[in-house]
Amino acid sequence: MTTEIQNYIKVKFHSDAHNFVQSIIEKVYENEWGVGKEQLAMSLLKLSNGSIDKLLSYFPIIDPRDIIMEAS
Amino acid sequence: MKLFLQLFLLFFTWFNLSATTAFSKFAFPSYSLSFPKSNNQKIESEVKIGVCNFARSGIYENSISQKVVLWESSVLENRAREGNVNVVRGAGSLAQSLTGALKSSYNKLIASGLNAVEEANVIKLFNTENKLVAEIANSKLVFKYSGYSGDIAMVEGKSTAVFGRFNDPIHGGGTKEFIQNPNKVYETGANPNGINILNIQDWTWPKNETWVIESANRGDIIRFISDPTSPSNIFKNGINGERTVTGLEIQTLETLGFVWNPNKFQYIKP
Repeated sequence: MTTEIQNYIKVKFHSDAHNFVQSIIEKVYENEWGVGKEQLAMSLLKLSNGSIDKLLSYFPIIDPRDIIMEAS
Repeated sequence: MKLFLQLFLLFFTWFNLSATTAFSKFAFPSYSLSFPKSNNQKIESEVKIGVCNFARSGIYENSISQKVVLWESSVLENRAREGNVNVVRGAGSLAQSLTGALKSSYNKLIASGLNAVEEANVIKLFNTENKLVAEIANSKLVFKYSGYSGDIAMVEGKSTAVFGRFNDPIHGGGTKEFIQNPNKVYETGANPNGINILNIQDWTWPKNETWVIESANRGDIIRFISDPTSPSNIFKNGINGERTVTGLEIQTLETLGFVWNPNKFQYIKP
């Protein structure tokens, strides 16, 4: 996970949620998605806009391309 | 506790038989040795019981027994496989008889880490997780797929562009079956007698669209592994309006003049 992603989590999410959000994003990095892992992770975080509920609503991921498209 | 018992017995013996030294009464350490021994026997006995009664005893909680049983099963399974089929890695008699494009595809799949098993007149290709990924029979390479439209047969000299949702919510499977396979059995772009799936690290819709157009113009087989007629695969809200990326791909193909053939699960140009 890059520093940019870590910083984004710190800025956007409540401090109590940092570890939880990081653990979810780490799962994204553990798999292949047919798109960039970094790209997908950042798109998920942007769309969530600091809300864990919103973040969790994207799982299971049906198509990572739809998430990137929506975030951009 | 054991140490306490040893010391207690030592002093008890010494005081009761004070005419001799403690060293001459050093028989009691055999007690301390017998404790772990009986413990081992207990474990061995549990393992034996576990192996014998595994099926009916609900002994799943007994991790030792479970490990032994699993180990024994894998040994038996491997022995059975050795007896009935020929496990090869690129050098079986069927594999040696392959020629041309099929031979190239086979070599490529073996190079990706798949293991070949020859059974009757079929070459079965397993990934590193021991999952059946493809078969070669009757001079045809077929990739196994259990979701919408089923197995994917390759056509000699042509690439098969595989379209669909990454994680098919209707029929299960999806392109993840290939993209998340531990062995890379596809290419992004031309792959004669093989699979062409989009996998790019800097994904954008224009790049995705270019991949669709290039695949179509090259004459790839346009094979869908998610139902392209289902609104939930086409539209974001599952009804109408804004399209999913798969929906956009369908639109692009239709704009290029392709028509859905439900019998072949392919978009074809009339």
